[in-house]
Amino acid sequence: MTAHSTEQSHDTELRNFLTSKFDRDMSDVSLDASLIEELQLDSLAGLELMAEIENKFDVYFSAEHLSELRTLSNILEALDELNWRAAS
Amino acid sequence: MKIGLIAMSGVRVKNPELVKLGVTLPQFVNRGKVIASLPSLGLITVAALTPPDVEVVYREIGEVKASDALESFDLVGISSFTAQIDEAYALADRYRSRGTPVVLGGLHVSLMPDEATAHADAIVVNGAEGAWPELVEDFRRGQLKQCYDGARNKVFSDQHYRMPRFDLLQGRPYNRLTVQTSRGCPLACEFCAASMRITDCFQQKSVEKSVAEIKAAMSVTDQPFFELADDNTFVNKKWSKEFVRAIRPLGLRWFTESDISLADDDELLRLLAESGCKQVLIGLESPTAEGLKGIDPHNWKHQRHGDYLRAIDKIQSHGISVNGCFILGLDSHTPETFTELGDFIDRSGLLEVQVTVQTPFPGTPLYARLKREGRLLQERFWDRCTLFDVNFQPKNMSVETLEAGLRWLFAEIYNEDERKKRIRHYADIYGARLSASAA
Repeated sequence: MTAHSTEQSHDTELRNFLTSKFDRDMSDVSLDASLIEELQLDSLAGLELMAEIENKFDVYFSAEHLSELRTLSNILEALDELNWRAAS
Repeated sequence: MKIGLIAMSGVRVKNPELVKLGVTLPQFVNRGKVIASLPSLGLITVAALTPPDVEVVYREIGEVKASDALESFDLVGISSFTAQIDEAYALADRYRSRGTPVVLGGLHVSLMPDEATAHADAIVVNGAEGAWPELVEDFRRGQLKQCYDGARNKVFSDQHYRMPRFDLLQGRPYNRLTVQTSRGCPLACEFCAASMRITDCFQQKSVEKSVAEIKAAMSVTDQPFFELADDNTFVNKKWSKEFVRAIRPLGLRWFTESDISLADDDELLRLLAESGCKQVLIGLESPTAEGLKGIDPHNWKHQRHGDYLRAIDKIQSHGISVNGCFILGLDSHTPETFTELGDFIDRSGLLEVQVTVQTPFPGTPLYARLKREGRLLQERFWDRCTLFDVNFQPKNMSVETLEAGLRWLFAEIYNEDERKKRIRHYADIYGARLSASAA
């Protein structure tokens, strides 16, 4: 799988995961929208979500990432970076 | 008749060096901001106790300050914490100077009734239950008395209880709503200036009434994060389990205050997690057992100190984060306590930490003792009752050492690296719980 297709796959998988978890269509949410605002999450709910994304995608975000992942774009970049590291 | 109920909330730290530090370490005032942004459950309860033919308007101090002119009412009721009581008195004086009668109430007024009487046509001491309906009728007849004693017992009985007017909060941008399920706390810590000071004993609201309030509050918000306005929610474990089973279907996320005995009950922890309890605030108070001696009359906290780390770990392993609260400046504390507390917090894995300075609120046994011992820096310092300003002579260090130690510790524990470490640790715990439940 190419880097581009992995990125697309993560994008779809992440949106599907969020759609299922929050029972709302996430397909049209902008990559740069704040998930905290979009999903009306408090900071603790945001942290729990990140732990669930780790669990779902079998990755481990750094402490730095955990506190900075605020948008779909941020999360996808982190997932791709971790995926790339795991593969290399 | 139109009654205006005005809530004063919000606390501003006085010490300029702490104010400066707070700008760079915003986490350290986070809990204070949360409290300041909560609606006044006391006043919407007062509204509920008002006869239905009387119009009630609920205002928060920010709304009053935003207007140059005072809004017109036939009667004004003001409730305030100690730190803002002088502002409350000033507002009361303004209303009274234009001929509007004022009633003052709340914890501070209950504990300092003589002082409050100078700024009010009437005061309500203790809760409004058992006092407010009579006060309104007396006002209608032009026979307002100077002081009304609210009930200190059976405050949630059918005789006194009315469901708070959550409808008055409609359309306001709260990120948390509060519901009270109990009043008082059996631990009776020397420094406590909370609801135990206005009750004779621990008062428990029925599960039925508590759940009905939550449902009523849910109808006025689309952000159902609830904060129980209790000082120690899970005193009665049987009641607690019945309560959390009843709210489990409501899909809440909620917060409350507890003592460490919560960790002793696996079934309750499981039920709490299932009901959406996301955080408990626990007064751990001191990093050493020695520091807890004499805090409460039965030395209960001292006896439980050995369990602290295990208990925090156990509660958090259920997906319920712990906000650990500590007080600096206790009589056993020395200059070494700052590093001891820093080390304890580091080892504890607490997601959130609240460190404050011991504060002798007026009317507490602590205030009486420090006054007796000649250790109060001033006799009247209400605007400095911020939980961050030092108002007394510590036993084993100077005031300056305590202030400097606070600043040092705040910088140690509230910096960005420490915050990241704590959230990474909690995500590990939460992730382990997800993996375990999936297995």
